[in-house]
Amino acid sequence: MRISFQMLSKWPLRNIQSSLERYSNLNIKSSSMKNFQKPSDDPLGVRKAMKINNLVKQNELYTSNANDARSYLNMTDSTILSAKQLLDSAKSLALEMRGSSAEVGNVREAAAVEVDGIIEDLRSLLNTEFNGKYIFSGHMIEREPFVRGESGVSYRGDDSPFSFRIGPDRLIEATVPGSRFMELGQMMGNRSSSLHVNVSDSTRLQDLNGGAGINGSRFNITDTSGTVVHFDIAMFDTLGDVVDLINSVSFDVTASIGSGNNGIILTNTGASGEIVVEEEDSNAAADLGILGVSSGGTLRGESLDPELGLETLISDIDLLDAGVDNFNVTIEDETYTVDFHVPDYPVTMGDFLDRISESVPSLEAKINQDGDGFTLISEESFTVSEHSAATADHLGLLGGSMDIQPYSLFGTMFDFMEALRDNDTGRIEDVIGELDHIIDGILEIDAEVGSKASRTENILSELETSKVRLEEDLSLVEDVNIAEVLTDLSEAKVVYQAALQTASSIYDLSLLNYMN
Amino acid sequence: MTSLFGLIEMNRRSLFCSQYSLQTTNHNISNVNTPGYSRQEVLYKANYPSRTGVGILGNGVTVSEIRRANSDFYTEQIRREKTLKSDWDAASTVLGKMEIIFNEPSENGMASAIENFFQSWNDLASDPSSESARASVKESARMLCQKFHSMDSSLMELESSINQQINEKTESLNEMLARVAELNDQIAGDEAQMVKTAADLRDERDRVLEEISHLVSVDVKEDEFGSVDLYINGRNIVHKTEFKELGTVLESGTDEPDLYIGFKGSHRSLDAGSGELASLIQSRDGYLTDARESLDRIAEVIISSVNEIHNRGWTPSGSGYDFFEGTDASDIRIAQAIEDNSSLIASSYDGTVGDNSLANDMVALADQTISGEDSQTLNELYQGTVSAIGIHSQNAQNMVRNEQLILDNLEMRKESITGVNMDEELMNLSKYQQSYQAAAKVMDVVSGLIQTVLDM
Repeated sequence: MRISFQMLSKWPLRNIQSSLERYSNLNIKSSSMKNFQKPSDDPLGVRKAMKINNLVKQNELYTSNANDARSYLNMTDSTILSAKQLLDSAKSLALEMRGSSAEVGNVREAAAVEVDGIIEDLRSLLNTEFNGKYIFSGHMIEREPFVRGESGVSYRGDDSPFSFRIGPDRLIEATVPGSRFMELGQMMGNRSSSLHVNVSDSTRLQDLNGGAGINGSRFNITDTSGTVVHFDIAMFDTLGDVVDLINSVSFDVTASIGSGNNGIILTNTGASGEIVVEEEDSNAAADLGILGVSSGGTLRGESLDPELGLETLISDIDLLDAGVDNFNVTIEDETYTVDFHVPDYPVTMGDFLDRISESVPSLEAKINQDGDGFTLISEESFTVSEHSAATADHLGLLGGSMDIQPYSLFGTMFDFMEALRDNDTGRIEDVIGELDHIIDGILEIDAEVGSKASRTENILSELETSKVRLEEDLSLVEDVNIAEVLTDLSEAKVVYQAALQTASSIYDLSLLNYMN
Repeated sequence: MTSLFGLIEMNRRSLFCSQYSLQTTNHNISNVNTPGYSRQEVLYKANYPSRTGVGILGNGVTVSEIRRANSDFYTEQIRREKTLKSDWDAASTVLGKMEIIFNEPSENGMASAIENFFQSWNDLASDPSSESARASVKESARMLCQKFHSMDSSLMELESSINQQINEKTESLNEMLARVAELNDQIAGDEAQMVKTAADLRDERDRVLEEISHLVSVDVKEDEFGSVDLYINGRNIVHKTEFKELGTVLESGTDEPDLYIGFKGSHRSLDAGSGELASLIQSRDGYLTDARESLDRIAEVIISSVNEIHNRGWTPSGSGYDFFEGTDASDIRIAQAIEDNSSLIASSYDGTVGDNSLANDMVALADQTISGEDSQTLNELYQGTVSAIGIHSQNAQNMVRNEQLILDNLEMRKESITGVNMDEELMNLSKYQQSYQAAAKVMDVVSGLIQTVLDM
């Protein structure tokens, strides 16, 4: 084939260019240590690398979440175990205090103080914070879950555990809501209907407002002629005392107890105008429901929401005040009749519950957790049926028993403390039994926490394994084989040099060299 | 019959023939580096002989033709392949720019921005009441929006740069068409008069035709007068000395008018076949538009699925708040209400502080398959877009390389026929030098003869 002059320069130049291109590409590869710099270098490789990178990021996210979950679970576990130790010491105290030797002197009084201390320790444990969150408060992580009032400790959190996402379809619950501690023990039970408590003269002030009582004691009332009368109810116990106190002063205001509003009513007995009630120290007037100004001469106080307690009079309780008839309970194949008429009709709620508990063996009647009814509890299943009248139905007890978790940690501890103060051996015995249920209950919760923690550990090690595998895969796709690249690089360099040398040697030759 | 002066005349022709050759050789040597130059050679033939009583007497030499080495076959092949190469080259350039815009794989690309967005929601889930976690969600959302905007506007800039190129190249195409028409005129004129082949002018025309075929695919048909007619996709563009000017036509496709080429003054577009212009148009309407649509789709999916969850969430001012506003990649933004007040970023459905279920649901979005996208997740949608660009780009680059190899081969064959070989020309140089010297020697002898006669 004929070779032209231009080909002599073009052809070697092409070769130089292509070997330079190869050399340059290998150079880029060896300095970046990556197989590709842009998608067109290896589109499928790039796609794979992007996918793996994404999976690695996800894996890191889930690992971090699982680690967090594990910390919360471990914290919960150690707190519950500390609580168990406190409950163990409470139980051994109870065992000590049940004996007759403890009945004398101040032994039980002193023990009550110790129990008080245990209650506070338990409360402080269950109010543990971790990372600035209350771990036993359910979702209300900013609110202290267990708060002490006059009649006990109440739970202010909710029922939902705090969750972490540890997989595309997996959430793990990392905390235990404190409500679990208010419902311990595995028993059979039957709940009554709600019992509405009416206020009466004998309603204790401390039972008002759901058991919160009255905060403060001083307030004043101004009548329509402008007379201001100051009241201090610090020394008084019952609602009747307060009404009598107001009525004992001769001014143009009369107090009474209203059944409609379940509170106090202040009536103007003088010239037309309005009555004004104001606070003087804390919340006494508001808690009594009479803070403010009357309208049309009458101040209808707000509902006083009295708590159902053992001292509450039957006559103040709806569903019971009209008189309760007998009913039957069948337990362990024997039927027992609860007789409210013999020997005498119960006066207080406590009497009422005792009558039931004494009539049926292995059965106990207690005021329920929410304070608005009562529950029949037994370790055996039982059935409630009618005796003569439709009482059981009326009270909502008719039928067979169900699974319930009736014991509250703090409820029982408070009972224990009161039993000691009241020097009530019988109740101390009850408490011992309840404490057993409670301790079993919290150990069950702890077991759940433990198994979640071990599941989290498993997931963490799965994540670890898959992370290693992903990184290996990524490296295979992305990273250059150093030995190969460096070998290729030096080969390319040699090729490039050869191309340059050959090109330069061709140009020298031409007929001109030889013609004279 | 012969005559002494006849001898001089024959000699004169000899000398001139050698001079023609020397001149042509000189021309070849001078043009050794001229691109597209076809070497020329002078062809001789014996002059018409005279009849004499004793036989046929030769009359020396004459030039039959100054021939241009012809490789029209290869020239046309090369034109076709150049068109294809320019086509792929243009596509490869556009795709290469798109790869740079998408910038994957990298820590700074869209994939990273999406991952960071979901990571910030996970941080919020671990600490649902935290102010700083919300600020961080807002920040990562802002970065995501910014990424969308910048990619979208870069793609738009690429589009308008392509349009500008289309405009410019159409103009230069017109200039080239005008030049062809002019050359047609000259070549036809010269060849009509006497010249057998207007070699240099043809070289020039071939060069212009090659330039044109970079831009569009042309069919060249030569007529018997030496003019060429040019056709683009069957439509006649140049006929003898006339040509039709091309312009750009705006055709309203979607919401923005698109630029195409067409006859100037017409409102209808012309299919440019293949070549750089056609490829620019196709890349713009194909790869670029696809990429923009994918990006818009991804933005739309993010906006609607994030909002669907966030709307059901609880904020201190109630539910029903959108997290994102906007409809596509150009206008995606954080909702104004949330910009003003980041406590409106919801992490729960029911308002309890520790309920992180909404935030957890957001995190799960990253792995959810999106309806209507054949069970792809958000990340897979994006990976597919990048991958498609990569595949097209790699393909274009391979095609360019292939075409280059084909072209190299063809050009080599053409050069082999038409190219100047220095050694050859130098040999010719001495050859013609010697024949000139020989003719001169004969001239000398003949002069002597004449002198002899005159001295008689």
